[in-house]
Amino acid sequence: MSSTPAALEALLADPARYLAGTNLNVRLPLGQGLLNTVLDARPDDVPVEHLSLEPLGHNQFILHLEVQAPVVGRVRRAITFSSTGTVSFPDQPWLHLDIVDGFKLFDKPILKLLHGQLAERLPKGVELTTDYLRVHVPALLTAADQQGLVPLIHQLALRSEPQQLIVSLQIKA
Amino acid sequence: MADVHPVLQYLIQSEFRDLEGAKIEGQLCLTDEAVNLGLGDVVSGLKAGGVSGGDADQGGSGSASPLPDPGVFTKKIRVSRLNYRTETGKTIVEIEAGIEK
Repeated sequence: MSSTPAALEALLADPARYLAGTNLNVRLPLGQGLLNTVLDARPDDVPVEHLSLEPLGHNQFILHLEVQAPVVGRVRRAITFSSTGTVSFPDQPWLHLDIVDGFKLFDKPILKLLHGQLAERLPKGVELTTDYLRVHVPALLTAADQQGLVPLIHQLALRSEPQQLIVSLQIKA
Repeated sequence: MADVHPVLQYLIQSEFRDLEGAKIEGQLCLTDEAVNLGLGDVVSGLKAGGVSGGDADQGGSGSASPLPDPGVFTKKIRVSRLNYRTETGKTIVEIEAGIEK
C-alpha cells in the first residue's frame, strides 16, 4: 500500500494553516443501497445480526435492527429517527436524532447492550436513550484521529428523503 | 474482484448512481506552502518511478481490472464553474460542480 502523500497529510493535520480562506458548501446525497452496503461491511465482531437503513421523507428514517440481547434473546426492531437540527461549530456540536418510534418500555436490555457496544468502540459523546441518539461530532472526529478537521466544519446537517440521506456541510478555513 | 472494498465495488457496479445529486460550490484556497508540499510529492512520485508495489495485473488473461474505467465516473461530473486565480501567498480555485442524475 502506498502511504498518504506528505502534502495531504500536512493539509489534514493543520488545515487552518494550509487552506486559509477556503469556503465550500457540499451537498452529499447517499442512496439507500450505498448506505446499506456500508452497514453490511461492518466488522464481524459487531454483535448485531441485522442492520439496515430505510430513509423516508420528512427527515425521518428507519433503522432496522436485529440483536441478540441478554435475557430476552433475539430481538428485531424498526426504530424511526427524526433529524431536525443543524450542527454548527463551535456552538452546537451535537448531531441530534429524535427517536420517534420503535423502542418499547421493555427494551432496556437492548439499549443496555447497544450502549455498552457503542461506549466500547466510540468515544464519549455518543448518547443513546429511548428518546434520542446524539453524537458529539468533534469527539468522533478526534477519535478517528481527524481532530484537525474539526475547526473546518462550520455547519453540518443530516436530512432524509425517500431512499436517500443527505449530508450538507459547510467547510471553512 | 478481489481486493476491492465492498463499498467501492457497489459504487462501481451501480455506476455511482447513489451519489447522484452531489454538489460542491465555493472556493478552495491553498497557501504557497501547501502547493510546494504538493510539488514535493510530485517530484518524489516521479523519482519513485510512478507505479509502486507489485500489484499491477500483468496477466492479460482477460480478467476484468478491479478498478473502474474512470470515464464511468467522470462522464457524470458536471462542472458549471471552475476559475483559477492567485493572490499573494495563495492559489484559489473557485468551483461549482456536481454529479449529474
